[in-house]
Amino acid sequence: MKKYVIVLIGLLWYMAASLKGDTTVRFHVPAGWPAPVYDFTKNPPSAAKILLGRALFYDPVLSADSTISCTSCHLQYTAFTHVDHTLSHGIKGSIGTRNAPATMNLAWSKLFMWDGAVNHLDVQPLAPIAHPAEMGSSLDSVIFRLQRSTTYKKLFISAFGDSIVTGERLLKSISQFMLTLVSANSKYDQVKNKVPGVAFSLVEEKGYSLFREHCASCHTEPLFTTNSFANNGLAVDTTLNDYGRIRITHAAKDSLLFKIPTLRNVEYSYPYMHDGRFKRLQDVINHYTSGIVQHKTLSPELMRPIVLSADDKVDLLAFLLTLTDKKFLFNPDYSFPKEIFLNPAKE
Amino acid sequence: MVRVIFCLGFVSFWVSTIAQPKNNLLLQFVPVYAREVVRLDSGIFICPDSSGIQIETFRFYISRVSVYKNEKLLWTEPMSFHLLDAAIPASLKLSLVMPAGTSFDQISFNLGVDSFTNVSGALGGDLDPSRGMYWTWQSGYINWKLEGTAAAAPTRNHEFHFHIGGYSAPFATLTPVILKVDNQQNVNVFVDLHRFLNGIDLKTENNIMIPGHNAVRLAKKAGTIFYTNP
Repeated sequence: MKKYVIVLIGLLWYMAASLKGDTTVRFHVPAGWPAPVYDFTKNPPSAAKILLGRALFYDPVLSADSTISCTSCHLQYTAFTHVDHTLSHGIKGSIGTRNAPATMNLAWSKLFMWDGAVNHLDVQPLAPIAHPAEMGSSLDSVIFRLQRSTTYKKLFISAFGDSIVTGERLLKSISQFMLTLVSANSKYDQVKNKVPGVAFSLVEEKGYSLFREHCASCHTEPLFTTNSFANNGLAVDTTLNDYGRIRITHAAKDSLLFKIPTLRNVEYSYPYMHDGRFKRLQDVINHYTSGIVQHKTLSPELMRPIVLSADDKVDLLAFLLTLTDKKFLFNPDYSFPKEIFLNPAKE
Repeated sequence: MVRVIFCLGFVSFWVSTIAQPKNNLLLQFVPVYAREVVRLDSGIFICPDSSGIQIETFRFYISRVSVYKNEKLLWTEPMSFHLLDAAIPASLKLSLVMPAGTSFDQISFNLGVDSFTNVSGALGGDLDPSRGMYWTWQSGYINWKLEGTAAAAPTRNHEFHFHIGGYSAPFATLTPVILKVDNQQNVNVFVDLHRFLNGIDLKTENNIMIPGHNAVRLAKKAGTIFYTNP
């Protein structure tokens, strides 16, 4: 008797799920990677929610005057950052105070922004949506606009079963799309995974051992970041006077600490540093060998100068280029959702 | 067979919702300024004294509503998060359903949202970040939002803004409030903004909108202005 009831309930649940036409998606953790920080049980991925999040990511409807979308500063082909722009851009030609970070492997990140101001991926979009020099809008005005859109009505129905737009739904859907941005298929990964026919060249191999000796304590494999904060010896730019993490913690020990960025796809994510001060990877390497500014919060690893010969620098650079993941940069699943925006439902 | 399932279903529904006797407590929050009720649903509130203060916005979170008898915890509301807004009278009225026979002499709640909830991503209902009580430049709930104008404030348009929040040490602002009660069905909880604003020199302190020492101090102050007996 009890068994029948359970079967019946199961059947009804299955029918309800299939009626919605949504399919759950399993998050894939690359081999040898740590467990994700993001709690997927609180936001179980589904195809329809990922698509909704992707639409929102590419839609300037998030900004006050419909000119700026997430992708304005986070372009796929450049590792979801804004190449050639040292500082992020916003509505009405405004310019922010920090360099848009490359965006990938977010499921493993606990704190976001250069200063760790944001404590969860779900609430990350609130910052650019509301910042007057970015999208200059607010979550409730975005909700208001989405509620009047037939395109989003459809997307919300397929993702949630009804067309009600809430902040929670909107933010969790953007998270779901951003969580799919996993870069784990670079030459480095292929070498690690022993893909037949793929091997480091001699130069790359030398660069890898230099990397492990000089860089890996902060840019730790396999994510190429510890996701923590460090003072990497940059002189303060007096036009910005940005002291990093101390703004959030108010603790002197956090003065001039910034989030350690991943080095994955670093070939494409120029310019570098929180203020985009270095245009080329060579400049970055030269900073670590001869540009370190002493400070009481300087990362202990950088207290003694890193010594690299000209050849070493070439080798190290060659290794860094093996972190480029073309499959990631050109994955059509991450790109502008043409099917939604080029044939939109009648507004 | 089908009839049996149907009957069983009905009986279990009846048992769980209707038959079981419950205690209902109506907790009515009443924002006041001294003896005057502060209502914002039809506009601003002009303080009836010589302070020159006008209140425009007053919203706050309470969480973890619990009842006690002789200092012993008897019941805590599940999923207990409430956003109270002086502009929305319905939000000030909490209907609490607890097991029958719960006899209590004290209620407690936290002013604000706990630290775990603050790091739990996007949440819904009263905790939805679109409710205007979530910071954007840095993560975290605004536990207490009081805005208005004061003649004493030398700011633009004499505005003052108190957005009190912050969840992590040493700037955590979650503040416990414990109140004696003698009625088991209807409890009025008064929130006296006169006591809050009177303890602040609005000439020098008029904009607190980030977590920090000042927010911690004002959160403690806010925790002392609740009372059940006028």
